[in-house]
Amino acid sequence: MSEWLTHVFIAYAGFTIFSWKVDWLTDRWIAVGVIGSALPDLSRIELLVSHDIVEYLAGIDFTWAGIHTLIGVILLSAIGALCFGDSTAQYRAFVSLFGGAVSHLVVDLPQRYADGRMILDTYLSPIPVPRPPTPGWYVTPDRWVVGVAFVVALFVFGIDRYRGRAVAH
Amino acid sequence: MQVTHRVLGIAVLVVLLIGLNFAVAAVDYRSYPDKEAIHSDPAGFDGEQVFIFKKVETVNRPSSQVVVLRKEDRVVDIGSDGITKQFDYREEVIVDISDTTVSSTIGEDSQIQVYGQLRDESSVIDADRVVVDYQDSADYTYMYGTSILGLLVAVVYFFSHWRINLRAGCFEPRGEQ
Repeated sequence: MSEWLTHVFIAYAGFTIFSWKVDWLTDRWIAVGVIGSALPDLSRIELLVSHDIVEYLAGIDFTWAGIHTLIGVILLSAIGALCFGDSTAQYRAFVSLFGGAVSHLVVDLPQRYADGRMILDTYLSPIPVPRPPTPGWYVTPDRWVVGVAFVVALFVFGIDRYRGRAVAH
Repeated sequence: MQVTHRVLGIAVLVVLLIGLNFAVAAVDYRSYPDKEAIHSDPAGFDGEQVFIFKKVETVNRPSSQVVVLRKEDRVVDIGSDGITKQFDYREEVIVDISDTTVSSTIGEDSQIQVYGQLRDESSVIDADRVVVDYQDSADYTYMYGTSILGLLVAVVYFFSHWRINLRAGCFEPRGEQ
């Protein structure tokens, strides 16, 4: 996984680009999408409630890693969507949150793994899938990653403002 | 949507989410042998390929070896004096990095990934590849620092467009009644 600042920048850039084609994707829904980009890492609840405490209480194996899966972020996006008003807002919130969460999972994919493969299997767990080769571009503490993400977000921000002025004229 | 329906819907989804975490824990989806299987039959796994994520305990640079732990601990009691844990097993495993390239310098407390073969009753891993995820405490400080900053940016951005309507129990756009 990358750190959250990178995920925020990439989600902002991605949603802003989509907003050029999708009319309802205004700044307020981009903000919801940016929140969505943090959803998979809610598995870090492990730092507050360790999985072995749950295992002790429940008596069977447990992991918070289910949150960092496709099914996990679908459920979390649905929970988040129910925190919005009418059905239109809930639909838009779900799409924005899920889109942000998927951007997080995609950004995490090309990380460096010692066996040379992506961790796609963890995303679709408990469904078994093969692991394609990873390009191995980075590990989380690589400082250049957030720099690239910031430049991408700034570039998209600039184009978005330019487009806004062009439309106004 | 009524608040009670909203709360009921969220409760059902939270139960499903917790259930998913139990399901994921119950499925062994990895293609490499796990530590429990190796611990129960260490000689039987000699020559097997493993892929592990471990914290480095000690580093022996002259012999190009690092030591990690194969261990399993669990909670055995939660009482007024806190949480009591107990080791089911705790074994030192030598990672031989003499025939591999390492992505950066390994130190004690580094978090590493090792891909290699087991030998000597699974007490040694001949590493093919080693990736250093976190070299030292500065890497952890960086990760947590930028993550907290990212969360702050996301939350401030969100609440610049949304506010909480306590009566309706939901978020509503700022600037609208």
